[in-house]
Amino acid sequence: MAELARLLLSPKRLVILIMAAVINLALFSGYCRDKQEQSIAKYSTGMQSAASAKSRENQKLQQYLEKDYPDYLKYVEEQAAAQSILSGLTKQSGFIDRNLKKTAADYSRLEGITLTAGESRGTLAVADYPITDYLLLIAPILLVLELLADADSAAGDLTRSTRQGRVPLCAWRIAAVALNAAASVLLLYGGNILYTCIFYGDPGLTRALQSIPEYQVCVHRITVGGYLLAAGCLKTLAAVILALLIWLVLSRFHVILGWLISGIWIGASFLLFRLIVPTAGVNHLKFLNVFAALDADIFFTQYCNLNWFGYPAGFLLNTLVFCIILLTVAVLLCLLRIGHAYPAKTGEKLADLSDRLHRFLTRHLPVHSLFGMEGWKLMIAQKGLFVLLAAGVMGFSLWKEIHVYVPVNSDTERFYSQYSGEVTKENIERTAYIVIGEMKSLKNAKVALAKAYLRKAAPRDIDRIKQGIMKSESELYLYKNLLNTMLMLAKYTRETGRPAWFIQQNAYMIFFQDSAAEHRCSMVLLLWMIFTFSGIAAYDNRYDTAMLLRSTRNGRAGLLTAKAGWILLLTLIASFGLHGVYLAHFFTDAEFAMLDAPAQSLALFRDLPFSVSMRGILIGYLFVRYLIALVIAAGIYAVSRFSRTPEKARMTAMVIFLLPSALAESGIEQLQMLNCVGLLSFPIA
Amino acid sequence: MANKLEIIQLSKQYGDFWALSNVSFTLEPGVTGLLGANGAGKSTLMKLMTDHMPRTSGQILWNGTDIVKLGRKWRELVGYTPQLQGVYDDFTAKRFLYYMGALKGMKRKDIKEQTEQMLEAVNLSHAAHKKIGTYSGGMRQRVLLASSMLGRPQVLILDEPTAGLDPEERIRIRNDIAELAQDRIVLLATHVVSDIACIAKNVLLIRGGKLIAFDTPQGMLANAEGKIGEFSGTYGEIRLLQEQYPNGEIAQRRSGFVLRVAADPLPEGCVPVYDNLTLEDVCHLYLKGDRQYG
Repeated sequence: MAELARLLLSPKRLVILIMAAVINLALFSGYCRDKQEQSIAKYSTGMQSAASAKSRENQKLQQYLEKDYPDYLKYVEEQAAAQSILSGLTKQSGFIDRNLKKTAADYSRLEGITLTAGESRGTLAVADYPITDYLLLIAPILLVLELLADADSAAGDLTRSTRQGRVPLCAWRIAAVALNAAASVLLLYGGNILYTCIFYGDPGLTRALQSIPEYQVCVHRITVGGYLLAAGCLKTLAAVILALLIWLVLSRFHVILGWLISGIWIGASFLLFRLIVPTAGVNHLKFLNVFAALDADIFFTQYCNLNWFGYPAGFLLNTLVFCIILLTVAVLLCLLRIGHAYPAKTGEKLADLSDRLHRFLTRHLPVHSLFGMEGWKLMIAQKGLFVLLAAGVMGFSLWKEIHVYVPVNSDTERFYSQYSGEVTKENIERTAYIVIGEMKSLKNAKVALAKAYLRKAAPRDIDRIKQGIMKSESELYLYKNLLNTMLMLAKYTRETGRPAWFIQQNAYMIFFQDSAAEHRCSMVLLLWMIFTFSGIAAYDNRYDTAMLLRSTRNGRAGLLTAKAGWILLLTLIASFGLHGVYLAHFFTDAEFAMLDAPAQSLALFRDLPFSVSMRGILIGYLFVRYLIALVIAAGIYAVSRFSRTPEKARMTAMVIFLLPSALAESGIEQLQMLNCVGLLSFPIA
Repeated sequence: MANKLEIIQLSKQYGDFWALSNVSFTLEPGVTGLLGANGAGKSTLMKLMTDHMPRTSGQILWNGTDIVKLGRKWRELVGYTPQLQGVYDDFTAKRFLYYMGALKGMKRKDIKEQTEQMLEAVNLSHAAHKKIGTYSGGMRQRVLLASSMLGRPQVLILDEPTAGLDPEERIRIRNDIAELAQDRIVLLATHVVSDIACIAKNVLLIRGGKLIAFDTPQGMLANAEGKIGEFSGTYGEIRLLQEQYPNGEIAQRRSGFVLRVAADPLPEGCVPVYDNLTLEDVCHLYLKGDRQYG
């Protein structure tokens, strides 16, 4: 019990859990806000109001609840019956026949289910967001790594020499891993649910899960709350199994071989789960898989039976049985091999392999300069390369998730395609003619309406004329605006001598505005900076090398310059890369008009006292964001400089830079002043 | 002309506490042992000599020029081995020496060449590609010694380089230091008096931030004559006597137990010892009452 308390209530463990929750909240809140902004932008792109689109959605949902879902159940039953007759006629038996009967029986249990409309976006966001699934593995795996380090230390020898220091101690440690995983799921996954309740509103936890159209195929009589609870339990189970197996493998093999085995097993399981379709012949490999339990959502959004010697068995049941067997085996093996057996002797040959690798790297990597050696410290010794790689993967994932919607009006687009560019007298005159034309046609339409009233025309004709008037009015308003813009630009050019072109501004204005998508990129950048630069000086502090380094010729200014060089270089790559993810979408999803146009073409930059193209402005904007990132990186360096170890520096940096940002991003307005993510995004429109 | 490092009226104050007070001496090529209890001011003296912290007053002159004025040039001349075994666990010995070479501003060719030589000199060539985290305390200490010798510095400042080493390793490192001191100044701070007795040309004794003595080992031993004595008796008698002279050291002789006492003048009944005087006795005489030698 004392061991349980020591492991679970240690400040370090609590801090890890809280920090994982903060990181998760920061990323998840960005995801939710981005989703919402995307759907609003999607509505406005089609030139329809968000309210009307929402009402159409509600109509669709009502139709699903009242008609589509009962029809679906009926359809499944009919199909099952028909297919069953067919298979009987073709003398097919075995799995197909039994599967049809089981499917019909499974769905027949759902008859009479009461569906209720409600807020479903939160539940869907919780189910769709995959990063939480991986983040919740961090705490139990870190605990396992700590237990491994403990076993290798003198404390390990000491505890093993006591009466309760072997199997009983191991049992308590297994319990600690399980509780830690449960706490992790509760904090992270539970945090997501809580956040969506606040952000989207009441998710209607007591409704039948099938009330959400995305869960139409679910065969379980379960409420939304029950589904969230079941998914949480499955995720906990998966996290415990993964952590215990990693512990087992790493404690019995050399660290390199251990990670190799764990990596291959985890990678293969992940790929098998992702790549195999549920109805494939080898779907056993997909569902007898710990990642199926970690995902959990699949059991409620799909329906599938596994073929066991001609007999169908539900996929959820299969996964559950598999996971329980795996958990039992893992627990028993941990007790026998870690608790009971003597500590493993790790392979000498692999240690030799590690030496050879170092010899090879020393010979072939050109790191003799101070700059190179500092890079070695940062990227290899402190695993900065992995952090950069992780940021790259997250950047790629953001690239996949982010979409940019720019409102499009065909009339305006047509006009811009003709008149974009320098504002000429000819273009102004032609636009003025269009405006005059529109005014004339509006006047004519109004006269026609008056005449129609006089001659008591049919209401249908009057309505048609009224619609024509409305269209003319809106077109006149549009062209008048465009003409005014042209005149204003011409006046500006005349008065200041600086050119200002007539260009489509929508994409630019959206890019320079505050957006959740850009905040998501900035959040990843902030996380990357904290994880990379926290150790830059604290690593030296951990080994008490300050005096040794300062006693050398280049150990002062030279060392600082080398460290600063790496901060400048890596921040440049990460800042341009991650901010570039959002920018790049303006070249793929939308289009920046006339990148060669002078910046003054945009009202936003009209006061600029120098001439620069829009392309230059975009590069300059990224550069300003880079400078802001550098300021934050310098702050993280300062934290690192005064921290005893990289871990402490990381924690402190998270409290100073990440925590207020995450809370501010989650909607706490009072913390906006301390929001580094907002600062990194630097919206100017 | 031989190099000369002069310490003149050097003082360092932390708040109201004087860690070093008006210390003056001159170092010339050869090993100079620095002895003192924990907190006596040894590390402060070394920090000032490596220009790691500002001094309160006084001067440190290298061939007549202040080391602060020399700046980077001074640090080019100094090789330093810290007390806390400050080496990176994730580095191999070779990479660590390359790193130190880069910090010392050495040319790439020299770094490669000297790294091989130094690893050979401290008998670590066989483990050059192993991570330092896997090294024993002695091996780490030898890595540090090798790093301090990179760039062939004129002044070596070694802070307890033999701490935590087994006897064989200690003798080996001691011999290496003696070899190095042929043509350079070596300041060797240690608690292990026998290390200094074997190789030191001069000995510095520091107590409470003040310089107590600066002499050759022979001079110090001569000075201690008549101030070291022994009481003889049974173990019970000796234990009773030790209550009166808590700084006395109990030893066993063929004739029985003795209590070796260092005092000026010697107490009544205490027989002066003239043969087999050691630097340990000198430390007892000068540093008695200090935590380490109490």
